[in-house]
Amino acid sequence: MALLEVSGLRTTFHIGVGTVQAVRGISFHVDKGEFIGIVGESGSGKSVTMLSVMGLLPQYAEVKADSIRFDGRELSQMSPRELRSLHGKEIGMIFQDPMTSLNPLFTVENQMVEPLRIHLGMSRERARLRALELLHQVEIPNPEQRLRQYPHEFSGGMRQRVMIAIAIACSPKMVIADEPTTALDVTIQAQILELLENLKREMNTSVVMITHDLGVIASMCSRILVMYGGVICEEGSVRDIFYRARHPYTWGLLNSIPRIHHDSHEKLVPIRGTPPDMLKPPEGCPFAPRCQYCMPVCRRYMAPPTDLGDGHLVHCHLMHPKAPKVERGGLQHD
Amino acid sequence: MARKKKEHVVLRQEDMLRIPDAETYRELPEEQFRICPEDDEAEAIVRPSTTYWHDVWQRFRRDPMALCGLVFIVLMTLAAILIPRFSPYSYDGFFFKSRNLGPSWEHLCGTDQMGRDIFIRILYGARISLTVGVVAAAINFVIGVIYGGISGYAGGRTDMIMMRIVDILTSLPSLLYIVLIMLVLGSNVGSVILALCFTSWIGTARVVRSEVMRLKHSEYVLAARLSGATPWYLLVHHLVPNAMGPIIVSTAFLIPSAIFSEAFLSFLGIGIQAPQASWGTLANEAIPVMMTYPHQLFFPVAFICLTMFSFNFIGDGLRDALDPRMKH
Amino acid sequence: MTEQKRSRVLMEVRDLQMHFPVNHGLLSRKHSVLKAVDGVSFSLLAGETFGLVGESGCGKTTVGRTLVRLYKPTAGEILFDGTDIAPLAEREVLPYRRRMQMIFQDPYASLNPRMTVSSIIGEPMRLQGFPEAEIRERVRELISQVGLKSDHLSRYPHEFSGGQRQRIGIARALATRPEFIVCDEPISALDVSIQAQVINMLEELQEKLGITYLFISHDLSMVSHISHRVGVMYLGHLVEMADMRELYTHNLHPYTQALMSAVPIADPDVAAASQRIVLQGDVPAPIDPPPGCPFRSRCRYCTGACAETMPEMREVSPGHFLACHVKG
Repeated sequence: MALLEVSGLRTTFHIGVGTVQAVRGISFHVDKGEFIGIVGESGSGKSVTMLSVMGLLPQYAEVKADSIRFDGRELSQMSPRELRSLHGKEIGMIFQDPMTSLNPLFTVENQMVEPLRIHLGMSRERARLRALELLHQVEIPNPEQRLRQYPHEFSGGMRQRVMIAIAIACSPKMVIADEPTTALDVTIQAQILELLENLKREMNTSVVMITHDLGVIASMCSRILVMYGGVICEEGSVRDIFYRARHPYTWGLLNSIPRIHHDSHEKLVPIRGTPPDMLKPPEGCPFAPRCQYCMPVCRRYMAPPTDLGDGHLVHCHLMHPKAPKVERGGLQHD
Repeated sequence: MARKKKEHVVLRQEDMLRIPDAETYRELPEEQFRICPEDDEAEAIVRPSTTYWHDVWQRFRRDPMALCGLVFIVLMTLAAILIPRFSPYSYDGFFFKSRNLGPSWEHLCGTDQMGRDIFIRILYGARISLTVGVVAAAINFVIGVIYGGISGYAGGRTDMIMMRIVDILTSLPSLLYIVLIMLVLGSNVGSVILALCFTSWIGTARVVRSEVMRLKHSEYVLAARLSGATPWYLLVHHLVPNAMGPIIVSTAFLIPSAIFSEAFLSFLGIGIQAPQASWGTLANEAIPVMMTYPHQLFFPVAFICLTMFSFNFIGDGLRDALDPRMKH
Repeated sequence: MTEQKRSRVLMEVRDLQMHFPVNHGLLSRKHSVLKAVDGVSFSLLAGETFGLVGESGCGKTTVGRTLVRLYKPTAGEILFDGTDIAPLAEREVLPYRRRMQMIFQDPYASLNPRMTVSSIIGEPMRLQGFPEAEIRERVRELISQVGLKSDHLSRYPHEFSGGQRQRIGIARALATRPEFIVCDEPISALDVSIQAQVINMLEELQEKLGITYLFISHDLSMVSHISHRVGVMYLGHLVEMADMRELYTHNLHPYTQALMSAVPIADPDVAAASQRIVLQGDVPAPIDPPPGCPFRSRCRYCTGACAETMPEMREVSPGHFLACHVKG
């Protein structure tokens, strides 16, 4: 059953030189207890999508949507006040740089106890005990002592654990993790990913993981959305995306990462060109200018989704019955 | 969210993605589905080429107050240069018949106790004020950039010593040495400028120093060092050009403060001396007849105020235009 | 890539140390030393890519910058083509500058925003005193070599995308036809689809021009893709060094093993099958480190010997070097 259902989301930023079309009409859903990944490069709109859903964008952003339903309620009709009460309580958030979301002037205890008191109405004593329990849950050693410290006394990995503890404090229905490990070293990233996996097993929370790293989601997520130029190119289960991808952009992504476990030295296949300028994005498929299978129709229209079964949706004109048959390896002649 | 009140911005049709309806899509002709990627397109740069200064001007232009300030200063400068040349009146002399006249078409701002046209005297005052302001700012700029640049780039012990010298200079009470300089060198424009420049470059120097310290570890500076760039080359080609925004802003705010200081000194009688007309001396001369002929005080003061406002608005506008954080 | 070509030693690094003093403030008598690089030895063969991996703070960037003499090493030798460039003064290094270059991490910070592309690419040559006509010609040649057009030359860096900027950085590094280029995390700031463009370009340039790379990265999968040999660094020390394939299949150091297993694999089946070794704790700060193996605080196999002495680098099999008391 869908916990979050978004349809027709469009987000634009009005800046001095024009209008940036960050998200250009996307629809998706997140099921209860599901671990979903949104992959895309910088400027693909992956972070803006979730921030729009949460109503966390700055004033000069404009969000339009046909509907954003979360747990049966329409978020786009909610007042900023009602939305705020959702944050932290029913939706937890983990950002890339924990230093910007933790207040350097307050101790960790302060920052953990506040949301518990506000959202769950706990007494100071009970909230403190809960905070200790949470720090223990995210495997921070000496929680008693750590609670009294300030954010700058924590290392990057430890800060991210604190952020996770705050995000799950009120047992939210959904956690949004926006590039939670991008700023961390590989071995610390492994620690955090393991922690997230353990939490996933313990709690029945939906997690939306936003990342540019296909490696991170391969082992974590059950379903993946691939975004490019403000639209969803392809969505499907992990196996659909990694082994049965149908969109040339997904192929391009998969081909451009080196595979350490392969013994032979195969050359990488990069995607040519550069990502679109979102001030003037193409009006057809945003990937068309870089796509090696670009057809005239691609420049004119964005492709409607084609359902390949089991929720595997592809937004590509190659799925049209009149289009030539193309596989990941290249053009198929038969 | 959707309830944000921004109704005036409507998504235009051409902004949107074009998605065909099912029937059109099904009926699209065969030739629409032939693979023909274009090679050139992938590297195309869509945005027109703009330089940094062009961008700054575009942002500055959008600030109405700053623009008004700029127009006022330009008009006043032109007037100060041109009008006294073609005017029948002089800033000096004694005209018995036309003493203490009120404002009229003949004398725009009236005349003073000596019968001199106040408007012309204000324009002569503007020459002094603008000269003082611009020259002081220019001197500050040069000293500040060199001092701050060296201090910031050298770092370590050199920087420490240079900054302590600056600290000592700032701790001197300014009125004390200004009066001293004026007494020793005599009251003229040159000594006013010297007195005003004595410590006011420090602000600029501090700005330059912190900018240089921030920029000197940037990768483009490393890249130039890698090819054997000397510290002087780095300062001239990389560090100072990139610190120009904050430097200009701090210099822009120096102009009004120098103008005001000059007027203040002249008002006290230790700056420009009569019969030379400075806005400060004009105001000073009008004090005794303030009750009977208020216009003699009003016009010089009004010019001081308008000039102050204008330069400060320009400074604000420049700061907003040059501040990289304004760039989304 | 022909194996027999790579036999001449271009650069030999012996016991390189780079220590930085840590300031505790003006009045503090405490003197700490940050041992960013603490006794690193390896050699680079002409035409090969030597990968240097490690996490932030391990000293890999410092090694790279010291090799091209952006820093003067505290101790140790850097034999570049037979000459020890480590003790040379800045002026004496100058003739070697055109033979070694660097590609930087951040394509946004490594190009001076106030300079046009053509003056950025031409800068190393200009600093090395090449004639202006030759620079102009070479810049045109370079811009097409990195897949951009010559009408891009008059534009400014902010008009380009990250990948295009990084290619401009590569063109600048190639300008003086260097034999040796330090690539300091050249792709970590780029998007996945662009990373492969840059990596392929670096590989093609190496094939064509025979350049030697020191490829510094935290991303083991990219390092393993591009490098012939790899060195693993931890807290200022090289802990293991071997041929890429050897390191992948027979890695011995516990840190290398953890690093290898921590790399996320973009293949669900392989990821599910592989066992992840999760290290406990964080990397300690390299300020006044205690004696012994730097990795012992996080090592599963730590014994008494590890706390006493830093293990020596020894050859466990031909070309495979290891610094560990326990393994091998």
